[in-house]
Parts: sequence; C-alpha cells; structure tokens
Amino acid sequence: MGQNTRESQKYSISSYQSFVLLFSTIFGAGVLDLPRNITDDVGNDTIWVLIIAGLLVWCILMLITVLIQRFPQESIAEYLIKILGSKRFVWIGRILSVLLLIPIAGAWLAGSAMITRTFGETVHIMILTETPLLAIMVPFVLLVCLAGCSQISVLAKFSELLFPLSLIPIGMIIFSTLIHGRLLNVLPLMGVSWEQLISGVLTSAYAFTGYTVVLVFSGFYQQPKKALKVHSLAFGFTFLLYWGLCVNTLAVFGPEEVTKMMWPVLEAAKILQIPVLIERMESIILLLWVSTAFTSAANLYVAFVEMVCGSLKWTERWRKGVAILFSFVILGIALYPDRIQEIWAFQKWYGAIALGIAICIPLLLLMIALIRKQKGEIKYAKKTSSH
Amino acid sequence: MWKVKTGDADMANDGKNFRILKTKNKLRKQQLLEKHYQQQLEEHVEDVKLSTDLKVEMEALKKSFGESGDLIARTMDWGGTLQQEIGIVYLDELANKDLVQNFVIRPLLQNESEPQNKGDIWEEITKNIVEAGEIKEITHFKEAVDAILMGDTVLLMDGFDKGLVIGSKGWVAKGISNTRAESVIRGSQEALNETICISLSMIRRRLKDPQLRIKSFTVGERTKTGVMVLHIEGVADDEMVNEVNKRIEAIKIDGILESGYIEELIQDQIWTPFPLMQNTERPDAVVAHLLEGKVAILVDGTPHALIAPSIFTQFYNSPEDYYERYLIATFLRIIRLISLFIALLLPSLYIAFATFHPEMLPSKFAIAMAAARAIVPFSPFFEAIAMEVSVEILREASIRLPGPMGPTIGIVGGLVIGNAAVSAGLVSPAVVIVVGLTTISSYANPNFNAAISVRLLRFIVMASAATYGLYGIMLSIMLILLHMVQLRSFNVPYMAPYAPLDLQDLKDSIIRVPWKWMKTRPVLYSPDDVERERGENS
Repeated sequence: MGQNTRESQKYSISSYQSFVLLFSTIFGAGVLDLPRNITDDVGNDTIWVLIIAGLLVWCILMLITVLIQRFPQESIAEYLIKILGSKRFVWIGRILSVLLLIPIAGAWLAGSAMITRTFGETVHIMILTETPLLAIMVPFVLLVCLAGCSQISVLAKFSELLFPLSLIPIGMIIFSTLIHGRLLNVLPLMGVSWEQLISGVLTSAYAFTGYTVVLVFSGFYQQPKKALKVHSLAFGFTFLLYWGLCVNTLAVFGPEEVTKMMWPVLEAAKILQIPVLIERMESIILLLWVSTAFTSAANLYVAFVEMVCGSLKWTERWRKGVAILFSFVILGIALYPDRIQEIWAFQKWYGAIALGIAICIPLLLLMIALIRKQKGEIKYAKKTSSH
Repeated sequence: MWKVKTGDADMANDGKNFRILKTKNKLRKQQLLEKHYQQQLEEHVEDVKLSTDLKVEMEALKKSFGESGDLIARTMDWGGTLQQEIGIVYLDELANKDLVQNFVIRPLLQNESEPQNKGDIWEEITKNIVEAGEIKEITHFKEAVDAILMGDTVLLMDGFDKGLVIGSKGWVAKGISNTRAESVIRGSQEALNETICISLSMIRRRLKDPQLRIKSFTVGERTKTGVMVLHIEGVADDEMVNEVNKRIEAIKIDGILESGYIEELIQDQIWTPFPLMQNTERPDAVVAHLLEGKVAILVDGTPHALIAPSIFTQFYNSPEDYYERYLIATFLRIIRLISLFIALLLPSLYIAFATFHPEMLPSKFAIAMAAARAIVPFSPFFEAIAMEVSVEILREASIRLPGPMGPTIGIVGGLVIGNAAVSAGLVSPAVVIVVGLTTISSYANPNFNAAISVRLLRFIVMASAATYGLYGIMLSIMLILLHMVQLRSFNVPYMAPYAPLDLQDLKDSIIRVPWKWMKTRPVLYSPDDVERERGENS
C-alpha cells in the first residue's frame, strides 16, 4: 500500500459509482409523499408540471457540473479558495469560502434531518405504531452517523450494493398502472394558473434536493470529464422514477383521492399483493424505502462531514468526531417539529431555500471563476482497475 | 544512545518505548533498559562464529541443547595418516538415520583416497566423500543450531572455522489423507498435509510451471515454523505479493502452531466477524487460486493453505463449481445464496412476523401460526433464541465428541428434544421448522469459517428483529453491508465484484459461465497476465 495506491484510493469513484451516488442521494427524500404534495398544488397537471420542475433542476445540476468540471478532482474547499481568494491574502479566500459554505452545509444537515424525521414518522404510522418516534429515529441516526465516519468511497460502494433494491419499484409502477390505472383519472390537463404552477415547481423541488452533493463528491471522481453525461443520466433516471410514481398514483386513484392520502405511493402498493406469500405489499415497499431513505440521508451527511473537515483542513482523525457531534444536531433538528403538518410546511420552505442556494451559489462562483479565469487540471489519471 | 544502533523497524518500537518511559516511573525505565541490553546480548550470541577447535564446538552444541538425550554428537577420526577429527551432530528423531548412516558416516569410514596435506581435507570431504545431495557451508554457530533443529546433520572438522550442513530431514509424517471439511462428489479427494514439503509436492504436481515462486520464511522465535508464500510470477500482482511478504516478515511472536495465527496477524482488519482470508485443505483449490493471480501461504504443521486476498463471494464457491457443468454450478450457487439468506434471516423473520407484523402474512397462514402459538408460554424471541442456542450447543457438542458418537448426539438432540419440546407445549412447531431449516442452510456453505460468521451475526439480527421488527432487520442488514463494503483484503475490496461493480468479473460470481467464455482472469486481483485462454476453443 504505497503512496500510489493511496492516491488511487483518493480518486476512486468510478463513473458508475458517481451515477449511483447521485441517484441514491436524490431518490428517497420525498418519494412517498411527492404525488400528494404536487397534486395538491396543480391537480391533474402534475404530469407536465413535474417535467418543468425536472428541467429546471436539471439546468441547475448542469450549471454545478460545469463549475466542478472547471476544477476537476479538487475538493470544494480547494476550488472555493482558488475562486474567491487572492494569492497575496489567502485568508480572504478562506473567510469568504466559509461564508459561502455555511448555507450549503446547513441545507445538507437540515435535509438529512428532515429525511430522518419523515422516515421516522412514516415507520411510526405505518408499521411500528406502538414504538415511540424517538426510538425509531435513534438507530437510524446512529447508522447515518456510522456512515458519516467512513470515506466517501465506502458510501459509494454501499449505494452501489443497494442500488438494485431501488429498481424494484419500477416493476411495481408498471404492474399497478397496467392493472388498476384509468386514463380518465389522469385527464384533463392544462387547468392550472401561473401561481399554482410556481407553487407546484417549488414543491417538487424538495423531492429533488440533494443534487448539490456533487459539489463535494466530484472531488473524488476518476473521470471528471464524463460528469456531465453521468449526472444527466442519474438525474434523468431519478426523474423518470418520480414521474412514473406520480402518474401511477394519479392513474390509480385520481386527483381527489390522492390529495387526501398521506402516502399515495404506499396506498398504491397496498393494492398489489403476492397471493401466497405476502398479503400487503406496502410494508415491503416501506422496507425498501428504508434503504433509499438511508442512502439519501447518509450521502448528504457524508458530504457535510467531508466538507466540514475539508474546509477547516481537519485530518482524518477528526472525521469521526465531527460525524458523532453533528449526528446530535441531526437528531435535534429532526425532533423539532411537533406535528407532521409542520414538517410538510418545513419541506416546502426547505425546498424553495435549497433551490435558491443551489441556483445562486454555483452561478456566482462560476461567474467569478469565468471573470478571473481560474481553472484546475486533472491531477490523477484513471488506473486500469477500478477500486 | 542505543537508538542509533538499532534498525529502522526497531525505531518505531523504541519510539513507543520512549513514550512509555515518559509516563511510567523510573523503575520501569530501568527494567526496560535492562531488557534491551539483554536483547542486545542475545543478538550478540547470534554473531558468534564457529571456532577451529572441534572439542569446544561439540561441547557448545551439546550445551545449547541442554545435554538433551536425543542429540547425537559423534566424533571420529578420519584418514590413516592425517588423523583428522570429525564431528557429526544431528537430532535423533528429526534426521533420517539411514541417510546419515549410509551417505555420511559410512563413506567417511570407508574412504580410500586421502589428500596430501591437511588444508585439502575440507575440499576432499565436502566434494568427494559425503554422498548426500543437499549440502551447505556455514560459518556461524547459530546456523548450526538452526540446521540441527530443522532435522539436518551438521558436520564439523577440527582445524576449520566452518561447518557443513547436510540435508537429512526425515521426520515421521502422516500419509496423504482424504479431504474432511471440503468434500466434493467429483474431483480429487486428496487433502494437504501437515508436512509442508508434502503439501508443496502436491501443489507442484498439479502446477508444473517453473514460474511458480516460493518464498520461505521462518516465523516464531521459539517454534521456528516454516512458512512458504506461493505465487505465480507473471500472473500475480507484484505489489500484492510484496505486501504479503512484508506483513509476514513483520510478524513477531514466540510460536506459530497453526495457520490461524498467521491469518490473524496479517489480515487487514481484526474488528470484523468475516474471514478476510480463506483457508483450504484442497491442493486443487490452491492451484486454482494461484492461477487467478492470488497468493497462497503454506504453514508447516497445518494441513490448510491460506489464500490471500479473499473476497466475500469466494467463500460461497466450491471447487466443484468448476468441475461440474456450468448450468449445474450456477444453480448450486443460487441455492447457496438462498441458504445464506435463510441462515441469516429466517429466525429473525419469524420473530418479526410473529411479534410485529402478523397482518402482512396471508390470513390463513397467520391464523395457523397463531393457533400453534396459542399454548406457548414464551415470546417468539425467547422461543427462537432458546432453540437457536440449543442447536448451537448441539453442534458444538457433536464436533467435540469423540468419533462415532457425534451423529448420535445430533439425532438425539434434534429429533427427540425438538419433538418433546413441541409436545410439551414449550415451543411452537413453526419454530422447530425454522430452526431446523436455518441449521441445514448454514451447513450448505462450502466454507466453515464463513458459515460461522453468519451464525454469529444471526443472533444480532434476531435481537434487532425483536426490538424493531422488519425495520430492525433492515437496519441490521444495512449495518452489516456498511461494514462489509469497507472491508479490504490485501487492498482488494471485500464485496467486489458487486461493489465496486465490475461487469467483467461477474462471469464468475453468482453465475459461472462456461469455461469457453472464461477468457480472462478476474481483473480484481490486477493480474499481470490477464489472458487465461489464448486462441479460440472450438
């Protein structure tokens, strides 16, 4: 394990892994209640409003990708200092970069906490009704904390291993739409005002949050040049799954019913059953969702820990301390809302703010970088083996 | 002051010592210093050269073995006119006495030719008279002692400050026995041997490649156990081989009695229930692994070879998978995968369904289960844990019991106790089925040391199932997976080829493609020579 292998371990995320990482971070946050939230805003027009929201988020993602491709294999702390700081006064860059990083870090921490809370609520209401909410969330946060202690490459491998599980809903969507779906439930379209449209886009923005983690993950890519394609693929895949789930629930229940359901996706799953073995599929879906929720929360948290350690120039030894310390913060934020309605209100705000952060900061950075003509270079080329 | 003298490896130790010195009291410091000087004194002994005086040497040898009765130290006069004194030393039970008698002592006594002057005697004896094949000149006293301990014979001559080691190893060895733990229907039934040379000969016989490289080590300060590291040059990755060698060289222990010592001392991480190195008793499996570009470690006295690096899927492959047709092999691997999940999860699923989620089961099944459980006084968790623990006890007992009584215990325990417990209403019949299936499933694993880690983890999953139901099972699975993906065995990711995914290596994972398509070695171990099949198979 010479210096060489350690270097190769640093830039160890293959294209496929970056695909899986991005996918598993985005997919999972709002998957269960997205159809209700968005249908609440725009009714039948979910089908195309979601596409608009998707396009918007894709544009932002591309913006971020262009930014990080300018500085391949550099961590966010490194290139921020390059962009903002000057060679003579390094401290200016450092202070400015920390100022810019705080909102991003806060968004990730809050996102992680919100996933934890919604997850806890869902498990509490659907399968473990007598277990207290805190008791459900604590092991989840512990696991997230454990993931936070490890390297990003470990999380990449973990997401890779669980990826096939998230493909199972695809089969479910197709089956349940074909069996129970009605075209009448989806139509008519185009009955939405401008305000409703904007509100709907903002709502769906929450479901897509998490893509900003590429700001950190890209520092570990083996092939940063492929990032544009990989990110588009990952986002496109997530978007298709979301869209499929929304259309599915709409087609099965119709807009009126969907808005009255807590978790329309689970309700749609309830209708399905494997006759001999399992009578109620929704628990199975919920269990699969444990893995997707966990990978989302864990990826956000790992990105957070990595960014904190990277920007403060803390060594590996500190990683565990940071991870343990902030897991209490996650638990604290997660416990803050009293009722589930409050969480939904939070979600909407969070989605809008996160969208704002995701547009403003990368755009600002990219513009400054363009004006100041700052650029990075690939330091480490890919080795033949990919581990 | 002594810091400067010692080598680089000791520097780290010294640094540690130094830190201790700082914190502990002065007495401790003195003790440490004394110990160090003692060590230096011992090291000095190693530097002692053989002297020219035969009598002194013979006495010293006898003394260093504590006048042991099995040390044969014989002196004799050689030659008619020159009257050269010769000493022969060997250990009675380790050396091949016929060899020493026929090819060393007899030629010496029956010699005819005699050189003119005394200076040529050494040449004459070593080149013309001693008829043994393996000889080596030594100059140090310690070398002589080591050679005798290995079973070789040491020949010393008066007036020469060197000695001759004659290879005469000939201790009692067990014959080649059948495989015990890794039995196959089709394929060789030979198992590796406790004697390292016999094991090596079995491997050499199967792999007639001059590129097979063997590096020998002596590990264990007191046991001086022979350890051999095997790899095929041009196939195995040099960096990996060096890493293995480096780790073995770094071992500091008084004795190695089994390969398990080495395994634990050189594996990447000790805080894991999973085996990070495979051990196999099959010479054909060793050759197969060598051909994949891995390294095999043979330890004297152990009829098992260690394979490094090892990945998780490897523990669920049997050598027979490659001997049977590929469809059958793939089917068997799927069966083993299912059995892995049953062995790990079935009792926990029972607990989760019976305690938390009866509504998920089909109603008739749920009613039947509830009816059977109606008279059982214990909770499903206690029921399952009690049964699992008793099965583990039975298993342990049947292994430890001498010979033919083992199976009897299995039958008595399994059938009689299980049946009695059900009819007494202590456990429900469902739990007996669950535990029975679990036990059988864990036997379906071809590697004992991987199966045992699943047995251990099962209890953790059961406990989390009892606390959180299916959610708990899912959490513990994720915990286990999170642990597994960060494991590495000699820098190879443990969960490969699944994580990181390598499409090329999937050809020999759950599925096994026909040999015709297995054109390359697994790229996972970054072999130098990737091609396995050159040209086309018709």
